[in-house]
Amino acid sequence: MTTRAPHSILCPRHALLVTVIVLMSVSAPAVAAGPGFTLAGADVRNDDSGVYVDARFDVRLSREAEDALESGVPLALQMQVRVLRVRDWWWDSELAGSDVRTELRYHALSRRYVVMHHDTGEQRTFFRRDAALNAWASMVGHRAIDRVRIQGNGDYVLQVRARLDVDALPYPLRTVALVSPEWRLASEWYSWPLDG
Amino acid sequence: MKPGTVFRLTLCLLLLGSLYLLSLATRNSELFGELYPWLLVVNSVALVALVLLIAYNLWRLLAQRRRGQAGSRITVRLVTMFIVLAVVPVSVVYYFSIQFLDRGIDAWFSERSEQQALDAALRLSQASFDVRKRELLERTERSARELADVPDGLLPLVLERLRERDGASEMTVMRSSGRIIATSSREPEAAILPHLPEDDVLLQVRMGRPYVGLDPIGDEGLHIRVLVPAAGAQGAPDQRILQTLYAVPPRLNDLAEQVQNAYAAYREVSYLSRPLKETFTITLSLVLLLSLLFAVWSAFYAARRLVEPVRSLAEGTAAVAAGDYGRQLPPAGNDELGFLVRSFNEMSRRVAQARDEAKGSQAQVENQRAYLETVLARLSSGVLALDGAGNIRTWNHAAGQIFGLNLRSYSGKPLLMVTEHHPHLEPFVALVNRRMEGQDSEWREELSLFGPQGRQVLTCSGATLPGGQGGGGHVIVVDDVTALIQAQRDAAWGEVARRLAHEIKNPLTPIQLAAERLRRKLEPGLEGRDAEVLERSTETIIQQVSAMKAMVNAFNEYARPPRLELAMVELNRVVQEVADLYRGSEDGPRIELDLDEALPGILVDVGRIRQLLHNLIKNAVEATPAGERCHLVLRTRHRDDPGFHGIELQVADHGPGFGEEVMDHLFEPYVTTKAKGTGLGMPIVKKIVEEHNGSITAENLSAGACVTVRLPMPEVVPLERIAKGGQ
Repeated sequence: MTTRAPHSILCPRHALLVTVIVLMSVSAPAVAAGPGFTLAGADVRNDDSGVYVDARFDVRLSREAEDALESGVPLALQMQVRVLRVRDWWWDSELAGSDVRTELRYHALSRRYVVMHHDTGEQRTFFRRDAALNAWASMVGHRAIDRVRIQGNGDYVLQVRARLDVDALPYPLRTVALVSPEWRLASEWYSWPLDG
Repeated sequence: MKPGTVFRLTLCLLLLGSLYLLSLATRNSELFGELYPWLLVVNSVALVALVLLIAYNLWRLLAQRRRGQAGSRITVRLVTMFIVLAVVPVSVVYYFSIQFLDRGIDAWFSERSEQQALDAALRLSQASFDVRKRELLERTERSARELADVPDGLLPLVLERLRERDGASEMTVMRSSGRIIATSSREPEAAILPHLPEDDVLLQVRMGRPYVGLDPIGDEGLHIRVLVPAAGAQGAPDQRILQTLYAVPPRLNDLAEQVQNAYAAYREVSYLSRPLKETFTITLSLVLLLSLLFAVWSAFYAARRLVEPVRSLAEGTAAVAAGDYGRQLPPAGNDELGFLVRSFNEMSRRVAQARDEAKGSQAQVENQRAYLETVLARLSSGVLALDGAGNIRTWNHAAGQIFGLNLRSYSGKPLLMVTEHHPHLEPFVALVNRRMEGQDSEWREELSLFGPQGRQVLTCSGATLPGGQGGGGHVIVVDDVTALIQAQRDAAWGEVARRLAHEIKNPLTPIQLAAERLRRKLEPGLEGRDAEVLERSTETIIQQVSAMKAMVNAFNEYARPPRLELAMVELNRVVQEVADLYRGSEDGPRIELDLDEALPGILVDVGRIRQLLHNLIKNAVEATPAGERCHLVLRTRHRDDPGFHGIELQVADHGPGFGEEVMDHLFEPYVTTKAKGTGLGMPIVKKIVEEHNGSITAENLSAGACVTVRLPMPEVVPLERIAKGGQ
């Protein structure tokens, strides 16, 4: 995967065909000491029909979340993608918002981690946890917005973030998760300007 | 309903609603799950607000307590009692609830035998799969060895055969890089995309270590995945890897899945026991804290509501005790406290009514007293009231005037003390004491006092006052009848004089005429000594008759009714004129004048005043011993004293003065010490003075005597007199 620094307009405009608008990764690598998600790499592609995003996040689970995972509690991840139209005089308007949901759980009998993509129903198993986490926090070729919707004049921004879906936790855990910072696992919003 | 009550009820309902939503949110509900943080925030804000409210209430209560405000003590006691009543049971319930939660959930999850059974089932399953895995590994390794010399082109065929022989569901040969060379699957459509292993497994196999593992593959159920290195075809540059997937038999698969699901569910649930406890504890604590704080806050409110009537009563009682009768308290409901407040209001109203009535009675008594005092003050009779012990209680102005002393200085003192400074009152005091000791409830007696103003005749009447201890006593009414008796005496004398004059004057003229006739008839016939005797006798008769006539005229003058000719005159001028008449003769009196220059005019009968002056001068001249020249001083003064406003005229001489024996009857007719005179000079003077409403006193000085005439100048002069005076 090609990675470049975010927040920079990368590609000059090609003709009408597939144009890679932005290829980037986080400039700050995932060295944050605290638990959470940091963007490890991303690829925003553009073709005639739409804008597509690949993204992979580094995951550092908190102790609580690790315990829960090892105890068979499935962890749901929500990777949110949205496209904003930038407005100088008002809040930015959201043109499109979508998310990719993946689930990670431990299969005790086989001693393997199972990662399931909700959208596709695809299920993969992993012997090693880090491999499973990588697969859990990755999305490939997610369609962020239709191309026609960002062809007007104006500045557009694509944003991506990952967060642990606390609402998908079993309900006894939800109350604790709402008050405990151990469960407040979310990345910041990573932004890329889109060339309309 | 009051705004405060509405506010409290609303707050209570909001809190209850919030707590209900909180409990809902802890259940499986997406919506309330989203609301939960907000509920937490709202409840926390409510918590802080309650704490602040309680702190404010506490501060206010303590401030009231420090100020000693009525009802603050009982409020503190009630609040403390309410708080203890609320906190203790709730704390006990909370403690046992937490204990129950803690132990109950722990016991539920830890002491159940299912955990061990499930662990054992899982391990048994894994062990049984391990046996099978070893067997399948050996089978796969055998197949790998058989593939050693098979060229790539023949691999699909060989694989198909081996797969069927080994009973595998999928068999794939790939290069060590992971590139698939050939694959064979039980389901033909799956052969297009074989189930590839993860990179780590390939890496392990590349390093020469075979891999065998259980792999849940999607909906297809459990599979045993075996990867072994396989020798490449001769001349092939790199090593091959053989992956074989064996499907777990359906029955076994179902059983394994059941074990897995049960185990996973149990693990999850036992893991969740802790957060469950925490959730319950958080919710319970929040609910308890909110309820408790609300109860504490309500305790303040309830105590205040309860104590409000008591406080009002305390304040009202203090106000009534301080004399603020009629204080009305705000109504306080229909309970016993309300009854108490109503009773207080009724009592206060009645006390105020009684006070007003007492005030009215007092005012009435005061009015009556003032009325009596006024009546007493206007009485000419002196009234003197003594208490049971003989002390002076009440008196009127006239009493002081009659006794010639200021009774105010003797108020409350025994009547006997009066005699210390006024010994002439001793007969009166003795009379009163005697009568008070006697048994008569009413008495009347006449009494004569000899004081500085001369003889005073008093009629005293007394009565015992009603009343027992502290009351009682005597009232004595005194009338000065001196003037009355004098007037009666004067009237009697006037009548005597008039009758005498009439009876005597009638025969006088015939006597005089007869004597003159006798002399005329006999005188020519007699000679010598007879004639002389006749002459002398008739002369004597005629002279005596003339003298008698003069005397009768004087009587007439004294007895005639008053008829004044009043005119406004300067008295000094009248005195001057009269004095001038006596200045001519050598043997006449020597008159010295001492006149007040600022003498105002006065309304008098000038002729009468002249007669008065003549009489007084004549009286002085006649009183002068033979051989001495009479020396007189005529003095006029304008007086403006408290008891008298008018002109004072004094005639003082240097003679022998009045004799003691005549002093008391000086102004009565026929009282004289002189050889000459009718004895009517001074009575006439007194009569003239009385006709002018004046007073006359005579006193002996160290040398001579002094007669003082006081002529008042009344503001109101009787009309008939002014008319007669020609004004």
